[in-house]
Amino acid sequence: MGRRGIGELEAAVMNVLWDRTEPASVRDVLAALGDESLAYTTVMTVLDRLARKGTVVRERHGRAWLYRPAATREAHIAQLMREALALAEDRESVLAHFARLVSKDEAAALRQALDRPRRAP
Amino acid sequence: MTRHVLSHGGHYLAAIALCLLSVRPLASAAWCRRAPGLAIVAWQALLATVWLSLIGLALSIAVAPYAKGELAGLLVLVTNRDGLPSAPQWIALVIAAALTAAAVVAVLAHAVRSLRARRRHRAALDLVARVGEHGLSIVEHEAPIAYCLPGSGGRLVVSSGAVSALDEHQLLAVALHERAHARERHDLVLLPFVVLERARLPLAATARRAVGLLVELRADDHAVAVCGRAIVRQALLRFATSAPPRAALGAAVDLEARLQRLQQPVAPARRWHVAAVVAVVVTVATTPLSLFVYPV
Repeated sequence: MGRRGIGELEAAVMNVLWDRTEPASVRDVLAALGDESLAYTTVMTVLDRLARKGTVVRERHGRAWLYRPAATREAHIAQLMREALALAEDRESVLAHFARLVSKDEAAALRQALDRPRRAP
Repeated sequence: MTRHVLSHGGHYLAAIALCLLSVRPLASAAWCRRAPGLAIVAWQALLATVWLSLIGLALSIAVAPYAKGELAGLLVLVTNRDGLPSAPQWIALVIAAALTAAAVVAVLAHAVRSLRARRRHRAALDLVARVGEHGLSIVEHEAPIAYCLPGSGGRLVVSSGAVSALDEHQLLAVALHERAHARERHDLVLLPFVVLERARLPLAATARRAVGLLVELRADDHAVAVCGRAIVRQALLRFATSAPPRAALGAAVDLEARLQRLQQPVAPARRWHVAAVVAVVVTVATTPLSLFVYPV
């Protein structure tokens, strides 16, 4: 692996943390990434950035800092998708959805409406 | 002086009245669904005309004594070539400046907020998304979700639930639809209308809804051009009705309009119709602009 974007590195670090059950030190994360071109301080910087954003939680353990995800991967995704739907509900132009989801009743009504022969335009 | 206010002001008022009266007819006009691109331009021209006419109305009062076009009059006023302006002139000038500033600030503030929200969302997204076919960012989630995060460094996002609800052709239709939103910057098209709606101005909600539907039709057309109507329609129907029981639900009004439209070939807008619309749009939109330049 060569140089990677900071976003890609953050994702890789988060995947390491999500796949573990125990909190990890910088050294643990570095080892799990298995990328020899990666410096210890780079991983430390990434973890600190993630901690500042609240994506990981940092706790002191003896002389070392240990890091763990603030939420599970599933919870993170659920929050992300909730946000995506909420941004659409705000009628903001932040993002554009393909379609709104409709309930079973609405779906039935919709199908019925579409099956009705249309007036000639 | 009175003559200037009556003639210029009258024209501005007439332009504003005409625009406001045409909001509802334009929102329900059938030709808009045949030519959504043209209809979007008509809405933008309408909005620009109202805004410029309001500013022009205030300016015409401010520069009335000089019997010149608004811009030339403004030059006389600010250079004090004709003596110091009177109090009514000042008030009108302040109103014109406030109208200009309010619109620019509101749009910029909203743009910055959207930009921040998008950047934050993208950072959280990139931690969990994998890049799949058609350049889609795929997220493991059961509910069918598909959206585009517009702007530079934008993303086309689909959930694994959406991927499994659709076949490969339907998924391509979704990708093309979202890519059209991103490429034509429909977020920017909607921006001024969203700002107006949030300011709770009369008719703004009608306009925002109409333009919101038009950009969807436009994006559907891009997907139809590649995949055909049937596939886009199936994708839409499958996608919208495959919601798990507890998913967030939205109104189905737009959805029904889009599905109806995809049922049969969209007859291209008639040529005289397009010409008429273009003529009206150009005439109305150039009214305030010409008054800015021409005297009396």
